[in-house]
Amino acid sequence: MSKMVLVVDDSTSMRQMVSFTMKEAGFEVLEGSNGQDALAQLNGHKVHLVITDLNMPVMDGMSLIRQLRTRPDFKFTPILMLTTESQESKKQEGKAAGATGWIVKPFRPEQLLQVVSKVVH
Amino acid sequence: MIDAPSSERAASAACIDRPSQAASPRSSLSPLAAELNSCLPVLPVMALQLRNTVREVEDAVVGVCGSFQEIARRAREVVSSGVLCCAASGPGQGGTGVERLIEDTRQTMGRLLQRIEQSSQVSAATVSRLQEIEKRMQGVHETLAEIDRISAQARLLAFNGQLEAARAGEYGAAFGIVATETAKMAQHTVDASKSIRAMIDTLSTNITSGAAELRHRVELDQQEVAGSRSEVTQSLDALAGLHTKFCRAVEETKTNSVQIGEDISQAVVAMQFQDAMSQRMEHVAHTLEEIHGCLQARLTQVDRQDPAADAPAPHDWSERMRDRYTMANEHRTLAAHLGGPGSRDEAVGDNVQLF
Repeated sequence: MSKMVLVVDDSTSMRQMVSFTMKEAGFEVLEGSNGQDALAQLNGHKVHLVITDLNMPVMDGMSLIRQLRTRPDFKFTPILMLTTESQESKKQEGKAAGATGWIVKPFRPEQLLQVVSKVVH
Repeated sequence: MIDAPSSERAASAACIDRPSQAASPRSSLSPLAAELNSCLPVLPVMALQLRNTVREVEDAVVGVCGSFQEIARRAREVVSSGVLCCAASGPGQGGTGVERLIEDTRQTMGRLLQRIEQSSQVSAATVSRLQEIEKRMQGVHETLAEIDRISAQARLLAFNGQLEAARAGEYGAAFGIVATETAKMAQHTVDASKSIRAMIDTLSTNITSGAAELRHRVELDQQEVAGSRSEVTQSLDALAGLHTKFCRAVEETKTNSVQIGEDISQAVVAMQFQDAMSQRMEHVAHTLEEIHGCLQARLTQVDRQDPAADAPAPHDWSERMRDRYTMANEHRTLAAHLGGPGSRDEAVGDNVQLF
């Protein structure tokens, strides 16, 4: 059975690019346009990986990670931040919130998949 | 992209709440105020234009990416159907399915032609036997001629016997009966011989024509077998050649498809310029809106001609922009033009970090 990845970004094109890359690698994809939308999309789905942007309207990536980490089913789920933000302080904030890794945009598909293979077992 | 809403009112409030430094006379500000009044409405329009551009570029990029994905999907489909046709039948089973099929057909046709050849050989052997029978028939004819000769002698002997019996009169009557019976037997023998000859002739004619027909058929069969063997071999060779070319084409298509995949990956990376551009333009639009709100608040103060009103300190716009910026190159551009750090604590090196 395919593994499920939740892709969260307010940019339609970025969601499309990340989703395409993940689908090509055999994942099933759920999409959310912001943190709140992503939470609504979960709807009982078993998610094996979350890839989220940081700066988004309504609910940003940091708040989404914090919310997810309070849920027992997301306690050990890998969460990758995919953002243009490269400040070390933000990365540390992400780490503290519960992010598994940080990827600065633009991403290369093979690089993203390499990271995913390290965190999804 | 951007998580802060447009904040004209917040910026205006920030402007008003700032502590005053010195009152500015209305008269000296009037030309500036008039100019500002005139240009202020332009700022939100500029912000709107930027956002519209961002939206349109994003729509275009989504369309292009969709096309790329479709190209990738089609390329994959072409390869899969080609690979299915040339699918390997597994290790140790001798080539692809089609190659095996061609080889099986070659062997089946070979066996079929071999059987036809064997039938042809059997027919040829039958023709030889028939020719042998024909020769034997000739022997039978000779034997019948001998029988006829003997019968003629027997009849002559019987005729002489009858003559001698007649000359002997009463004493030769019994001998006459024997001579008469002998003559009859000789005649029966001649009749039987004729009948056998007639049958043998018919049989011989049938055998001769049958043998000729069979011989002709054998020759035709042998010619056809030779022709068929050549045709089948050529057709199967051509089919095998086509199949090899097809598999080579599929292999090339596969290579091209991989290349297309890599090209699309690079295109995906290239298309991410739009996300970065959107964020930068959103930051510009937001700053324009903030400037608009702030300047409008200042002008309102001036219009009130309130001499008691405090003149607020100007904002540190570069700091505001720095706070909003998320990308290292935004910070670098800002620093290059307005000074300050290029970025606050930008990480260097690989763009991936696992915690």
